[in-house]
Amino acid sequence: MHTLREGRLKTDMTTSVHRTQSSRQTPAPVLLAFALMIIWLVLPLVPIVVWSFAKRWFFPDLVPGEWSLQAWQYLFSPVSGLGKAISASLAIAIPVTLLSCCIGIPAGRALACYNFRGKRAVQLLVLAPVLVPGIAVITGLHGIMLNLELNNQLAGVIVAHLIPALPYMILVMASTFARFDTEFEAQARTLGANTFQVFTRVTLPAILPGIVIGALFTFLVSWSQYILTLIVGGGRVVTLPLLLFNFVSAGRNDVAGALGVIFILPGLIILIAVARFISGRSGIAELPSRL
Amino acid sequence: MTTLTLENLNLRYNGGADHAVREFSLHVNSSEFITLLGPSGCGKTSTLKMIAGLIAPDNGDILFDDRSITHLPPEKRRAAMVFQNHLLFPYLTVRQNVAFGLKMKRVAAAEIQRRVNNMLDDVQISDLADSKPHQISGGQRQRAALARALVTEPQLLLLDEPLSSLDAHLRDEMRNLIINLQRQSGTTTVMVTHDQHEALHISDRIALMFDGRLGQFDRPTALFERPSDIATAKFFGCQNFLECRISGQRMLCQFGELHLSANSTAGIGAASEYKGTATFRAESLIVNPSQTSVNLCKAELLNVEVAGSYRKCQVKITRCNDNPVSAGEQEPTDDNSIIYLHCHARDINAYAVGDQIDLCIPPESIWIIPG
Repeated sequence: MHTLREGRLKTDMTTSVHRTQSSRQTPAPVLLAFALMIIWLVLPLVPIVVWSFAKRWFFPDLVPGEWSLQAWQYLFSPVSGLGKAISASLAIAIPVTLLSCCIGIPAGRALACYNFRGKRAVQLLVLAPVLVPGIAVITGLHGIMLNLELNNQLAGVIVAHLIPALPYMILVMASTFARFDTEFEAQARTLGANTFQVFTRVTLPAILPGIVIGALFTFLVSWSQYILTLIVGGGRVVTLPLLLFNFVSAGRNDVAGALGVIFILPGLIILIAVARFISGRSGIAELPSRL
Repeated sequence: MTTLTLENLNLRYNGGADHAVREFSLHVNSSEFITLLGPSGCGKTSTLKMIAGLIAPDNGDILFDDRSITHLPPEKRRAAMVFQNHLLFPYLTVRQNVAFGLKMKRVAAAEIQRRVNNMLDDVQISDLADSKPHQISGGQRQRAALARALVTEPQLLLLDEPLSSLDAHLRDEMRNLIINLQRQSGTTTVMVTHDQHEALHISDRIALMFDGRLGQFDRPTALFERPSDIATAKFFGCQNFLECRISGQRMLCQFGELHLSANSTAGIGAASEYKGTATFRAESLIVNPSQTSVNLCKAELLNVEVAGSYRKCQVKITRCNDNPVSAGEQEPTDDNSIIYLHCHARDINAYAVGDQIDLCIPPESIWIIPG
């Protein structure tokens, strides 16, 4: 425990040194661009937060005329459906993440480490869901879901979410495996490790950072999915984005604002976590020992 | 300890079109240190990986102690391998790395501790036991990798160019460490290298490989002094080759008749007269020999290249054993009357290019390769 804390302290120290150095060297235009980007990304989030505490907010006013906790009180009351929506979102996003790991880890390895016939075609197909708009895919998919009787239920939505989620996992794992020397596995085997031990003791620790990042992104993709849930779920599967959309279309900006805050929380947490891993260079390398 | 036998190993690639290893047979004695030596791409690493079980041969058999293990997965073979790149697990400390194999075999913790500590002492990195691999030097990493393999007390130790990633001065140190540990443990060892000096220094026997096939397999001095074919002789740096007919203790070549020693023809049968290729090393020629020597030649100095305190020269033989060289029945072309001569600087400094020098080809330095 003691050494762990020391290790973290060291990481934080190196990170902060790195930061001060880089800010001293960063030229002004880059800083300006960075500031603009922050404004671009953060500014739209401000009204959401403000709305969630507003009772009345009309056009020319810069801030609401009247403040209240009404929206939050409503959301946390049993009638809002918030609890059900969060559990539906989690009941979809978690299995999607786990299934993506199961498919994405071997697929990423195949793409990175092996040569096989049709590899380029597979690479293109993996990217396809990122490039093709979901609405185009879902029209065809809905028919298939109907035939399989997977529509209007969680299982169908999970399968549908895998389409946009899997490419992220596969691509992250492919780049992780591209940096992994499979000779480590050969080395472990000549030292007496069986295939299971090789995976748990050698491969897994090496690719864990990739799995964590891939899983976080996969979770987010599923978490923020709207159109696939709406069509395959047939309105019966109400996730957080669907609930949010109900309030937006009903003109309840205050409740929508509060819901929006809850909706972006996991994304924000994940973003900060990933940013910390990436900014502290030793962070990724030491992730296995930290976990 | 363990003996290793390879029987007719074949390994193909490109869908069977090309051979990486063909009809490779070899027997390694217990506690012996042998080296697979050959140019890159000759199939030596593939052979090592087949022994380790990391590649399956297309056919042929591998036996440890006369028991076939060809069907066994690598973890059941007890053949520990040290790779060229140390391949220490980056997230484990040196101690944890060395303990890896014992842990996989579920050895008791106290036993692991004892054996790992002894092993770390043997390779002299005890004080670095709790460092991570990226915190120690290349030589120390290679020591840790060697310790990690040896601590499992393998039947066979397989070394894949373990010294090639090291600086020259570390290489000697590491080489001596490998020799000592191997003698001490008596582990039968197969090393792969492309470096003939390394192989000559370290091995009990050397198996030379060319193009996937086994060439000469013999003690280092034998390979060096008594090569069985021209390829082997060339690999070990022989540059002088003369086609000749041998009759008794004499050979007839383009330089006329040369005297041989009794050892010169040890590589060929007892036939009284035959054809062969005579070879002698460039450094075995004597400059300014005493006039009582046999195989005295006169030669024109064509070229001198400085190599430290030595000089690498090319000379054109003009007279040999008092016969003008061009007067023979054979017609020497310019190419094959030129021979290579390596000598100490003091022997040749008095001469300039174009001068005539006296040479002797000592009979005992001539080796006849049959055919």
